[in-house]
Amino acid sequence: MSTVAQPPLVGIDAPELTVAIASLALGGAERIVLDWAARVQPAWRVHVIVLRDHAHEWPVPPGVRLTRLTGTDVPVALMDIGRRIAHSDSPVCVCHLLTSAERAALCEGGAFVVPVVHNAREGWIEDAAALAGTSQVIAVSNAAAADLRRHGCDATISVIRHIPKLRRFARDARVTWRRAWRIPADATLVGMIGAVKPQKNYPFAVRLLRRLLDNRDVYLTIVGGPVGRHGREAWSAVLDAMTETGVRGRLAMPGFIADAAASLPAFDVLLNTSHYEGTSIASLEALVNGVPVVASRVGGQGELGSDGLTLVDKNAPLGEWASAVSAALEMRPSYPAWAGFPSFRLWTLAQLARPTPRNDRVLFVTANLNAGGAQRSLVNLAAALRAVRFEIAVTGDSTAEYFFDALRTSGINVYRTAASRDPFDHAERIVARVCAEQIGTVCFWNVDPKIKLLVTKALDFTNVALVDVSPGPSSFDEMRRTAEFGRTIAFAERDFYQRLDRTVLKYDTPAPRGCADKISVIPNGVPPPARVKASYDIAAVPRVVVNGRIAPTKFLVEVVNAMAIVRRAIPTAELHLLGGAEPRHADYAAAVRAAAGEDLDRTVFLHGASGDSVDRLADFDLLVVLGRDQGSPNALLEAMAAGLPCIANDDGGTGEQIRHEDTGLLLQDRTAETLAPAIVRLLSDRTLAGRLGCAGRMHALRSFSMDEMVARYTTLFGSLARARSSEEVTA
Amino acid sequence: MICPECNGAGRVRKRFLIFFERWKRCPTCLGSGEYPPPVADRVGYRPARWRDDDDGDTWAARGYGAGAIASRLQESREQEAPPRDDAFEVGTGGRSGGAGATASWGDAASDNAPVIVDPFAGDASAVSGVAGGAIAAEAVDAADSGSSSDGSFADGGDSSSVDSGTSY
Repeated sequence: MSTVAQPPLVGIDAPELTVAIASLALGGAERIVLDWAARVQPAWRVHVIVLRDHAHEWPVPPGVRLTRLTGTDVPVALMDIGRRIAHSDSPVCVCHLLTSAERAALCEGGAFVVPVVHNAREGWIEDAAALAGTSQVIAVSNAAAADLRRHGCDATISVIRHIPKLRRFARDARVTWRRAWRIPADATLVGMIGAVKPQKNYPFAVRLLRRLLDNRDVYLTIVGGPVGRHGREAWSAVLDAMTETGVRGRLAMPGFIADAAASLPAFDVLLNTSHYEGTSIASLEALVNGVPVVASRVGGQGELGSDGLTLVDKNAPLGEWASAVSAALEMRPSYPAWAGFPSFRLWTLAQLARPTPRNDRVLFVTANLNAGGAQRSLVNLAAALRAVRFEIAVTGDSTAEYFFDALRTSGINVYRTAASRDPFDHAERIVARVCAEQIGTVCFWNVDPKIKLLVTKALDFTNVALVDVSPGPSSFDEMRRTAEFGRTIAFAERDFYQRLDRTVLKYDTPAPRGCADKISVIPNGVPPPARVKASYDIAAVPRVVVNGRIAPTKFLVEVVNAMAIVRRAIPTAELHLLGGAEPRHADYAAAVRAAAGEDLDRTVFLHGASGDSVDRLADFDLLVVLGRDQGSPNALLEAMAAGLPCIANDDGGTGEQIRHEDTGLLLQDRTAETLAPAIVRLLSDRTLAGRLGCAGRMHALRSFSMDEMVARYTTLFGSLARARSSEEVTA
Repeated sequence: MICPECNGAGRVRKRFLIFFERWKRCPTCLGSGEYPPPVADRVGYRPARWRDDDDGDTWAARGYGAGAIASRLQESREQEAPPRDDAFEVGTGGRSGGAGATASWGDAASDNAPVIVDPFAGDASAVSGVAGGAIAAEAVDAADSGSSSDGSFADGGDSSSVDSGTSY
């Protein structure tokens, strides 16, 4: 248990989230809404507005506030609801299956309305033009989003692919359902779930059953009843096909079942022959629960890939479908990688995000306040950033108090976004905070890429400026490694870079495609040191210093080994390590001690972490920095500013700080064999050490000053606020 | 544990057309031979990792191996499952009632053919009564259907322009 003081948790009064839906009929859209409402509680309160009652409805989860508008003047009631939520903490109303007139009534009341499109083009009644003037539209699949774009929807379209929850079935479910349907317990059963309507193409499924019977003993169950204008004729068409093919003895049609997914264990494979789909919740529910699916390749089917899913062209001949079903029946089932993924929380993010008026306030988001370089540069900047109104959100626990103390002492508002390590928890609170406080710019500063993706997806349609301060390629690689997460939330690396307003690099390095035209290079700056090296003469014994955490990425074992080589030429040379090890690096700290061996506490000294290490640098004769994936290392800048001669390996931004043989010595690798001669050289040639130290100091003060860093960030945030402002005026 | 139905084989014998038998996937363990069936690795949804500015090393504090993911997923399935009292279970009657009607299509009842309801019967029809329990099954008459997220129908004339619909 950590005893390190952490920033306080951000105080957010969880607002009631409002969703409106045409009815609670036994459809997929309705199931999505209620599944979300059930799972999002108790973290968030939910208000569901149902415009029309229906004879056969999904049950409403306990705890949900339900408002039914049946029997009221619906437009008037909606306007009144819009008026009420407009003055609440959450004026957003996500609208499922509402007409443009109904949405307009909510808008007129003052609500911020987000329509959801659940189907492919063929399933729309209103044209995409009905969405004109909408800031954001949610589509349930990429395919539905593509249809919207093709038909002229110019709103920001966010895709939320709902993943049903894993569920537990009754142990006897398979037998009991089959008994109820009068299907032999040991028969092969193909199942279909969905209301009977023409686009489901059930007659084709009946003919497929006939084809399958040529080779195997098989039954078909269609769970669902007729709906819609064409429901009756669709039902009749199924029966006609049954009669025509003579499969009466193999077909069950039990009608609607209140919880159709409960019957999944009865099936050996789920079949979907739809002509079009937005997305099929039934298919997803089957896959999540380990039932293989054979489905037509339409709409969003297959956007979430799974070994258990076989897609077939909707116009493919019966033989091809039969082969697919047969193969699926022999398939070893597997649970898809996305089973259990909490995509329902994307709906919550959509409920929280809303437009914010222009604002010059900045929210820095950082992973922690550990004793690291990224944290030090943020704290340095925060302490000096006078012309910008800002606050700092920390998404994780910190292992040191030093930086938190420094921020608190400076009167800076710093808080943690959640006590958990769940990226959704943090994203929800960040988005809620940004919208509630109307913050104009979010600046990611060393943050988990999953949080960056979630926040950026949620705020995509807003005017909030988004900035990512990146140390360089390692950060880009990290984002690339979250590709699977990005695919699952339908917001990938490319979308992130496209939406960013600015990527700030710590040094000049290539950026990913998509953000190459919005790069600013702002190296770290350091304040003038309290103490500067006055003499380069070696006082008693030569003292080499490393100032930084004990971590594998600092290559301290190599430094210790190099010093052993150095001592062959300079036996009295000492190595001093200023910095501690995180608990997770205890093994590495032990490895460093082991490398020092008998030299530990004789010529190799581990001083631990302290807040004043910078002020002590002038007492040493040279500084070594080895590392990888570095941005603009503060430790090197601080030592240079103090006039200390420095040696570093060429990595990240170190090449901009150390010009070889001019402002320090730059190594091409980080081996002990390469490092040792450089140390011997600077300890032996103090004239050279003095020249490099002085030049390094001038270089640090001129090119890496705190004033310069502050000025450039102030300019950046100011320009973003003005740009957003002009966009609003244009809009 | 080893699947109690197939004893770990992952397959069970199935008889068809009276004289023939074939192997089919075990429905209890879903062919895995283990009960409950194993689960796959999850999408990289996991807690945000412990991170530092430049610390992309592999000395991570916590492991998230496949086994851990699988066990967590299994755990979550248990946790997320509805309480048995609250769950809709076959054999206990449905939430929405309607159990016990007779099969209503053709001569299904007499020849023991699978159930087909008549959704256009006066009352919301249901499947035939079955020994050991009844399943709530409801039919919706086209004339009074409200939604089902199709949007391809009118409901009293005031909701005819719904723009979406999913597959249930």
